[in-house]
Amino acid sequence: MSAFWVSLRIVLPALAFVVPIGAALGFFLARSRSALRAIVDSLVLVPLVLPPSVVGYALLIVLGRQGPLGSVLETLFGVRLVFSGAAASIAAATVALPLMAKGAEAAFVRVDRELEEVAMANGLGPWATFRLVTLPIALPGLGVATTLAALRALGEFGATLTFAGYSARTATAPLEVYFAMQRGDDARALSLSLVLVVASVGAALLLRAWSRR
Amino acid sequence: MSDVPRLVVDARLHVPSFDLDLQFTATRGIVVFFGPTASGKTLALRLIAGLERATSGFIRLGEQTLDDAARTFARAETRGVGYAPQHGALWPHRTAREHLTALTTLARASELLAVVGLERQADRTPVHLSGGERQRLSLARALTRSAKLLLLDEPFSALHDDARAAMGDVVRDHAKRGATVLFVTHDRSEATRLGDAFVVFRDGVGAVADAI
Repeated sequence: MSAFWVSLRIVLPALAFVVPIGAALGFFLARSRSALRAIVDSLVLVPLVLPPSVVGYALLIVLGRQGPLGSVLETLFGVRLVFSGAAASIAAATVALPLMAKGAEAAFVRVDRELEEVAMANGLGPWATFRLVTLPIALPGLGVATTLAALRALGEFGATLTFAGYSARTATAPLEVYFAMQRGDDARALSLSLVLVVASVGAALLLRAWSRR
Repeated sequence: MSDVPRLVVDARLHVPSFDLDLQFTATRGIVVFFGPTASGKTLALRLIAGLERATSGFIRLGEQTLDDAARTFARAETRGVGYAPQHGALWPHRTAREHLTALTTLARASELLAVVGLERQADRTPVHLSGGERQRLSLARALTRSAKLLLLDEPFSALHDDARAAMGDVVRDHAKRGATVLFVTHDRSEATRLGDAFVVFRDGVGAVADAI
C-alpha cells in the first residue's frame, strides 16, 4: 500500500497550505466589497475549470528549471522542484485551492452579519468577534470545504503527472492505478481502485455528517 | 437625576429606500423611541450603536464625539454601549452563560443571569430557550459591561406581564445608576409606563415630544 503512503506525504503538506490560505481567500470573497474581489473571484476558479494537464503545464512553465520562478529557486537556493514530491504537492494544492476557497466563501456567507454586529456593538473587537462568533458558526462549512479539497488533492492525476511526473516519490494512488493498468498488473490496479472507492464513500458520509450539523 | 445633556444627536442617515432624520438630546433616564413599524426607530438605534455611519450631522455622548459625518467615527466596538437588537441575535453555538462570559468574567455572568432569572437555563443554547428567555438573555448581554448608554430594541415584546414588569425594573435600576437608556417600542402603555422622555418617529423623522 505504499502508493497511499506516497499520496499522504504529498496531500498533507498540500492541505497545510490550502486550508488556511483557502479559508482566508473565502473570507475575503465573502466579505470584501472592493473591486479586487471580482478579480480574485475569477482567478481562484481558473485551476478548477482548466484541464489538469494545462494546470500542470502552466506550473512547469513558471516553476520549471527555465521558468521565471523555477530558475530563481534553483540559482538562489539550489531547489529543483520539477519531478519531486514537492512538485506533486504543489500540483495537488493548485487544484484543491479553488474548492477550499469557494467552500469557505459559502461557509462565511452563511454567517448572519447581525450576530457579528451585536458582538461589536456590545464591545467585542474584530478579532474577538471572529474567534468567538464567526469562526465557530462557519466551522461545519469549513469542514465540508476541507473534505472536498482533500478529496480533490487525493484524486489529483493530470497536473501531477505533467508537473511532477511518475517516479517512486510521486507515485500517488491515482497515478499507480493508471500505470499498473498500463503494465497489465490488473490485480494492483483493482485493489488500489477499491481502496480509493471505499475512502471516497467514507469521506462522502463524513461530508454528510458535517453538513447536517 | 441630572439634567446635564448626555447624548446629543443631530444626524441624518440615507440608506437605500430610507431617509432618517434624527434630532434629540437625552439626559439620564429612559428615553422611549416611539412610533409605528418602519418609522426609523431601529435604524436610529443602529446609527447610535455605530453599526451605521451618519451621512451628515453628529452624535455626541458627553465629551466624546461618536460620529461627526465626514470627520470622526467611533467604531461600534469602541463606543461603550450595550445593545439588544430587535430579534435578539443570540449566538446559536453558545450557551446562555457563554453569551455573557464572551464579554465579562464568570462571576459577573452568574450575577447577571440571576438578575434576569436565567440561572437554571445557564447551560442551554438559544434553541433550547423560550422566546421570553431569549429576550431576557439578550437584555443581560446588553447589561454585561454596565454601559453608560443602553440601546434596547423592542426588548420585552415576547415577555408575559410579570416578566415585563420585572425586566422593566431591571432597566429602571440600570438607568438610576446613571445610564441613559434608549428604549424602542410601539406599545403605547409600555412607553408611558417606562419613559422619562420621548422621541417620536414618523416616516423617518425622529424628534423630541413632551408626551405621546
